[in-house]
Amino acid sequence: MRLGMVIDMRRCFGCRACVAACKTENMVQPGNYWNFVLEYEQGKYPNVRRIFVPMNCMHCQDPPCMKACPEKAISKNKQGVVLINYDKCKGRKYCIAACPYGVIHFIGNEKTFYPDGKKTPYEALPARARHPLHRKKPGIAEKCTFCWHRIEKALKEGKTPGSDYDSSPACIKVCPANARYFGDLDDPNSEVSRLIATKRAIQLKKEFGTKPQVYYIV
Amino acid sequence: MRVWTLAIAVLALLVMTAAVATGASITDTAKAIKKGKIDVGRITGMEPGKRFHNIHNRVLGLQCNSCHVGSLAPDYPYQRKHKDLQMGQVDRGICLGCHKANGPAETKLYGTMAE
Repeated sequence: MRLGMVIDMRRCFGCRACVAACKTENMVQPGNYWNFVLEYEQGKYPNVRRIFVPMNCMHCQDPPCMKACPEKAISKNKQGVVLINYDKCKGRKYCIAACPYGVIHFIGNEKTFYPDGKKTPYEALPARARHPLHRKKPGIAEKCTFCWHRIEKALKEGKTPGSDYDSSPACIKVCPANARYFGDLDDPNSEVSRLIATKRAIQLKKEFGTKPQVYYIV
Repeated sequence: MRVWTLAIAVLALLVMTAAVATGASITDTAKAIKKGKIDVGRITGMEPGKRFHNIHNRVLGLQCNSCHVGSLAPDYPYQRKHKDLQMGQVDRGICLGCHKANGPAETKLYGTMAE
């Protein structure tokens, strides 16, 4: 199994529901984003259009962040998901420098959503009450995990990743435009494989040879 | 003790300068760093004075603006958290030149382009 994502840029209209869903699901602190949307204009007035490019970790088949990490804190699991071990990470930031997609963030000081510095009840959850991938702390790097906490659970329950809300990353099913798809790239019958085969799906920055597992339909 | 430390530092500086000045190829310099023949320090880290800057700036002579956005103080090398910069638009072209699979750097960070 090799998990991957397909994002249909023709459908995305930049609402950022995926960004909000990711933030709340993964307890991402203010200023950092595991998922964000780039936008730019194409064409010349009056024939212009706005392009939205949702970005998250590409979970590369050949991840440069993993090779760059001097602490060997980044690994790729059997399902092709690239994860950071927060216990091993020493915040050297080599992964951030190596990633050509700019999707790895560093947690500097701890920031809270309440302006007075107090924690929301959600942020105040103790580390032991959280999934290991949500036990983040200042001084380490963080990035999208394809919501591995959900996928892991789905796999244990015998579900197919991407088949329903709980077995998909948080950003997938919240998309009101149905622009995001998730599934097994090794399964030729999965929706993601079908889309890649039949639509014009591209990978970003292919010249880096990272073999990203996120595809964009353009 | 201090004299020895100073002597080693001067020697290391001379070796580094020689490597750059003689136009040693990047491959040779990279190998020398890997073998410890060029002292780039032992502390891994991105901050100036640690290995990353020692290798790329001091030894290889990469200019600051190769990675940093010069006009933005103090420092936005990753182009993420500044209001005037688009998040995620990080050009790593300069890294690719040396760190690609068949590049001269010892650390092959990037692969070869898929078919």
